[in-house]
Amino acid sequence: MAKAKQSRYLMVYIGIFLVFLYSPALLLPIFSFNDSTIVAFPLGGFTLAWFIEVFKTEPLLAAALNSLLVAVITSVFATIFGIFAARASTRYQFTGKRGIMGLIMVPMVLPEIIIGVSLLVVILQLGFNLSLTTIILGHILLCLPFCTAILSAGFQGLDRSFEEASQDLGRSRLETFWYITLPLVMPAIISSLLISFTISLDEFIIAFFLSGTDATLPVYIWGQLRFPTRIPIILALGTVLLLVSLTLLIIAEYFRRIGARKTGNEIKGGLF
Amino acid sequence: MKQETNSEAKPIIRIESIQKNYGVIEALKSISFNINQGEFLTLLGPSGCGKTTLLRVIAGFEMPNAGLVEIDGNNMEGIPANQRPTNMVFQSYAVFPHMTVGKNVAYGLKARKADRQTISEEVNKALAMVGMEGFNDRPSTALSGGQRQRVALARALILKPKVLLLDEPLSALDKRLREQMQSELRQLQRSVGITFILVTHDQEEALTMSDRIAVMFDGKIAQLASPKELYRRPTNIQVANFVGTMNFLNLDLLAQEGGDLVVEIEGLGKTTLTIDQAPLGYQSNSMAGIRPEMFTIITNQGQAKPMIAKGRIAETQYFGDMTYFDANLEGTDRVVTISMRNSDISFDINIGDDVEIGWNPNSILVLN
Repeated sequence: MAKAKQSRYLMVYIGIFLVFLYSPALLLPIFSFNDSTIVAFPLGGFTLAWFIEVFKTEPLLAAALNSLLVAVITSVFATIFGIFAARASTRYQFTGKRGIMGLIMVPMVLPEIIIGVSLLVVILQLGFNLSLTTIILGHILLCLPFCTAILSAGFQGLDRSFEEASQDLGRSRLETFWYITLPLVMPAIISSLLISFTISLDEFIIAFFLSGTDATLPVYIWGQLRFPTRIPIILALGTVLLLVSLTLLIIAEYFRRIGARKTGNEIKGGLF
Repeated sequence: MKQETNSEAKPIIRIESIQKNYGVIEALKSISFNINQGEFLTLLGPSGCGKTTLLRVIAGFEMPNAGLVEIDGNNMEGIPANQRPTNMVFQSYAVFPHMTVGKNVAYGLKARKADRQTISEEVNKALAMVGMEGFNDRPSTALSGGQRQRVALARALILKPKVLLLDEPLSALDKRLREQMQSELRQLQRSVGITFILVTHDQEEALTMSDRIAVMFDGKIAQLASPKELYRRPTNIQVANFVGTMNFLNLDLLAQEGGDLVVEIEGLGKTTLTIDQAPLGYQSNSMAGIRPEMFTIITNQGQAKPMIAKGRIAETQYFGDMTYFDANLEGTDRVVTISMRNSDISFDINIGDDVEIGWNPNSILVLN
């Protein structure tokens, strides 16, 4: 049967696709437990030494702390701005709306290297020093389109009559936003926080251009790749990061689905 | 809260020359009327006629471009929905999905800073009123459509509004539940004595529930009358067609004798009508309207014969208690609909049969 043959080809295609996509990520944890400093097969003995080393390296921990700080602040601000944008785009009509929404989404398609270089030029021209603050500014810009997209979907799924009913029952606009709108879009907000946190946490190019003396984790890792003996430590660190990222993404998707159910929408689409 | 019929003539809402435009579209074209205290008023019309817009203007969700809305003697200009003495039941019910039934019902009272004890008593009373006692802790997402409807009602009625606004509240329910809710709503309205304004496109619903019906077309009120008056004496063809069914026949004015009109009706012949059968007078494009049940197929030679027309049965539709016949009037290509109670038919009437159709001149209306 032609159909069966066709579907067999498709299965092979999917298989190759998955191997190329995920095998490098799988090698990471494998080599991080290998007790040889050389990253090559055959594997040596099993060790947890690299993981222990990760938590003993001061500059690495400092960079990790910087990254956490940047990611938390970025996700909070990007989500707050995203709420403003999403609310405006779904509830109000104003001139130039499409253009403005388009501009917000641009960083999603703009090469990061261009954003990085242009921000660097502007910040230096304005006479600011490079610091974690400049990285945060760059990351907010980068995360905003994702936050706006997720939150717009959340606000769009919200039946307008919920807000009208609240006002009709005697509540002010502000009370309505607080008691009705926010709780109902909360899943989208949480999902926006997690996504922007994840994007910021492993973002390299902008952080590389805009970091001063304080490096974020990806920038630190890049610096360490010059020393072959440090590579297993980096692999162990990569394994930890991989787990953290995956967990966050799964939590984000979980909340998005709860949100879809709460507002009575079908579970469909989404970022992934 | 009981408000008896003695104050029925007092208007609770005064609407004067209300206009609402959306860009170039005129949704409401200078509407004026009064709604009486304790009245069940229905805004009836096809979709896009402006009935929901009018309701939303009264609720304060839409601000009119011109005109005045007065509720209980107070001008509502510039007063937002949350400060108006009206409450609304939405078409989608808008029962808050993240709150329990009890919290939904208490939502409005909490805004009024009532104390905990009062709130809990009032919530129980309101839930009992709609037959949902004991549902306080149920999550509102676990409710059926009919139950959501009741919660929305309780949530609005707990605030003891001067006017309750209902935006097509029954359209999402299945037929049986809808009929049950119709009679429950009517009873509820009588027992609380609050003025209800209902928006619907369902003429049957409007006829069975309302004290008065405002039929709206194209941003204007075509007729405002009691259900009986509206059915018996529609003022124009559009209203007559929307409320029930009516047959329309061509009409020629032969003579006008004092108050009476001598007319020739297509297929029915010459007859004399009184002037009040032509509420807006005779015009060249006037038609003679007659309801299907005002025709009788003569099946018993002994029965009284008012006027007789001849016709041939073209179609029959059997409804158990009633049968609808389409009959071609002799000498014309006009087909009229005749409805008969099956208990009044003494022999089988089949397609192709030639029948005598009885009618009465005083059941004719001259409409434009």
